[in-house]
Amino acid sequence: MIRITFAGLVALLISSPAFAFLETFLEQGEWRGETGVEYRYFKDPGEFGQSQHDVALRLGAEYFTSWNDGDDLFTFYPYLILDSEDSERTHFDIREALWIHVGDSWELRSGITRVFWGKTEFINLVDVINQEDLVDDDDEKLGQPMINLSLVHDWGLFDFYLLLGFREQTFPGPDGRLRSPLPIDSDAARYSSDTGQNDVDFAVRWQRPLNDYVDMALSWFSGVDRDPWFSFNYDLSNPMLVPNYQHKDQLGLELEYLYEGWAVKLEAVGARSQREDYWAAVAGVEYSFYGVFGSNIDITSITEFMRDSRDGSAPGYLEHDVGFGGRFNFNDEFDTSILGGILWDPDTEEKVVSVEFERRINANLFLEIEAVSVLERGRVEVDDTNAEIIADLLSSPVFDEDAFAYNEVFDFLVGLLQEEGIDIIFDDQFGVDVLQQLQSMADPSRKISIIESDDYIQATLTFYY
Amino acid sequence: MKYMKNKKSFTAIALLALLGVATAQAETPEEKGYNIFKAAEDQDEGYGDSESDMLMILKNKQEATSEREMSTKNLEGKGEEGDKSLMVFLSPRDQAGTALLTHQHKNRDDDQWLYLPALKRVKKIASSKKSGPFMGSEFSFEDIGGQSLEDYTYKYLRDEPCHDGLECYVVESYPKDENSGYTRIVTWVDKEHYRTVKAEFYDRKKSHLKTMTASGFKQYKDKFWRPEELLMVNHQTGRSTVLKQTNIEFDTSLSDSDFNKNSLKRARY
Repeated sequence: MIRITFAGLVALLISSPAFAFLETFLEQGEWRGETGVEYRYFKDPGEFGQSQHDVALRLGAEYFTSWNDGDDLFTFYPYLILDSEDSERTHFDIREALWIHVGDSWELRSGITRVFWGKTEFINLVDVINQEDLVDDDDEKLGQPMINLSLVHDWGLFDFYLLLGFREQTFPGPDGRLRSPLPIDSDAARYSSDTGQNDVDFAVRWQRPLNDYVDMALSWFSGVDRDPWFSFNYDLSNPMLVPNYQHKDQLGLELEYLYEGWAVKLEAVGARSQREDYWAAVAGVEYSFYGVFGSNIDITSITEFMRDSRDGSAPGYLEHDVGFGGRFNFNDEFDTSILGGILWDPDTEEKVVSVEFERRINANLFLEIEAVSVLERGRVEVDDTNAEIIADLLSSPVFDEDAFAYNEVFDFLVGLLQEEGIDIIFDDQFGVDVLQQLQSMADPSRKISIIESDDYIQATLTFYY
Repeated sequence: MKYMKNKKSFTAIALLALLGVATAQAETPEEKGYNIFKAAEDQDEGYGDSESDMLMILKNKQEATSEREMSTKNLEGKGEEGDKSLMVFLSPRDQAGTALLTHQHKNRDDDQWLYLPALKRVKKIASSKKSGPFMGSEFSFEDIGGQSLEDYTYKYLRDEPCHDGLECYVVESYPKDENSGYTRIVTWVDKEHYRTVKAEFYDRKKSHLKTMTASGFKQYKDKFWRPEELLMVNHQTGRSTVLKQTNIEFDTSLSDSDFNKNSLKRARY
């Protein structure tokens, strides 16, 4: 595929009218670059011997040009991240390679780009177009090849997407921090029979204001679920989790009500896949105080409630959580801002706090500092007795689907009991540890949620030129 | 504008016109103030659309501390519609591509959307943010956003010579919106062309907060006056902001389709 494109490009280049076109094309355009240096310090050494320090270099270049009086636009944004510790974090991606053609009340966007859908702050359930670039940073996404037709109509804005190919999620490698206890073998990714890396997926979104205060968006997605579920590789000498991708149909709803300093937001999805039918929702209230105490500072308080009908097997850890946040915008010439947030799971008492600070140093330099701490690491089903966990494990429908897994775990369990005796099941500490390990091995659900409690502070200095 | 379509006030205006000279004397200071601003608005009627580049220089008491470059597009509202504007930031570089879309409305709060290119996210801005500073400058969102005639009540104060030998009307205006950062604005409007040459802004505590002066007026299309430079001085902090407008062009064939959420996202190009 790449070879064909390349040959086509060469053929284009040697034809002189095309060359003349390209010449003006490149002359008119504008290049911009950015280099970011990121340093992370982890409070504790990694549970699996990973380093406490991590330096990463981000290199991005952006090219823009337009022709036909601005009716045709092209942007190109290659991006590279180099990580000192984790070879899985080091990667190259084309974030954008997009041609936009603007018509009277429509736009056709062809190429690679990133798309954002959503209203809320802590999580964006409806945002399904792009794959998350998990190893890079929060909110980072991998470029998605697509053709997107956007229609501006009296009834609102309609976007139709043909998504060409599927991008797999990126995961930290064994040497990376913020990884799951069992490393993820992304090279061994598996696809359900109706999906694959060359899948052509479809999505549509309709957004419009309902009145002066309420904005609404409805979306439909039919394609490869961006969030995989994980199965165990059943290799006890090199235990790893294997990402499994499958087809998903998802209906999404977004609502936003703005009035004075108030914002009330909702995102909800109903989804159906081979494995499960589920729903998830996040609803929140924000209130902004503008110019507090006669200063220029704006403070926004954010409260959001998150719920996922899959509970513990939901991807990520925001399945029944409450998020509280505070954003301080200093509105100074350095665009100083501070964002603090806490996520709390009332059931498991899991608590994660984060603080982000941003400030411009000068016209070309921007500083970001972020600290994340897991105050309380939620333990799954810690109240259950070990015997109950085993019973749950063995009666879980997952084992019916996959006899191989059942046998493997059963053998492991029998072997363990023979070696350690039946009492191991009732041993408080050892039992739970072993069983948790067992569970993460055998339960082909999304155990990535058990991320090691890596408290860290991160500083990023980005230079623009 | 809706008052113009009201039959009763139409009759009233016709009657006043008939009374001729007598009306000028009968005009209350409130009416005269309103009429001056109405005349200023009429001066700008029919500008159609325009584009320009802007440079904003932020200064503390002693020196310039930072700069921002923007480019703007404006479209005059047709009929009952308000004006539309699109402003995109080119520098500082970390903000490049950040864009602000404004749809002015005559009888309700304006709609404003901000595009954040790093997140590819469009956020609607709450109208109560209007009194806040715009990009860390001494201009607030309401100073930048443009106002409709009906957003204020007015009171004519006096005639006064203003700079460069111009004769000015001095008019006080009072924002109707309680989210405004001002309690009153004193404006010097030149008698010949109805241009705002100076304005003093009084904050919610009624003390003198800022003074804006406009200079370097140039006329476009034989009708429309635009200042080359606006200077806003904050008397309480000693900080100031210079806003320079260059490359002003009219009739750039802009239309409604250049002022929607799609065009906001590609404003950078």
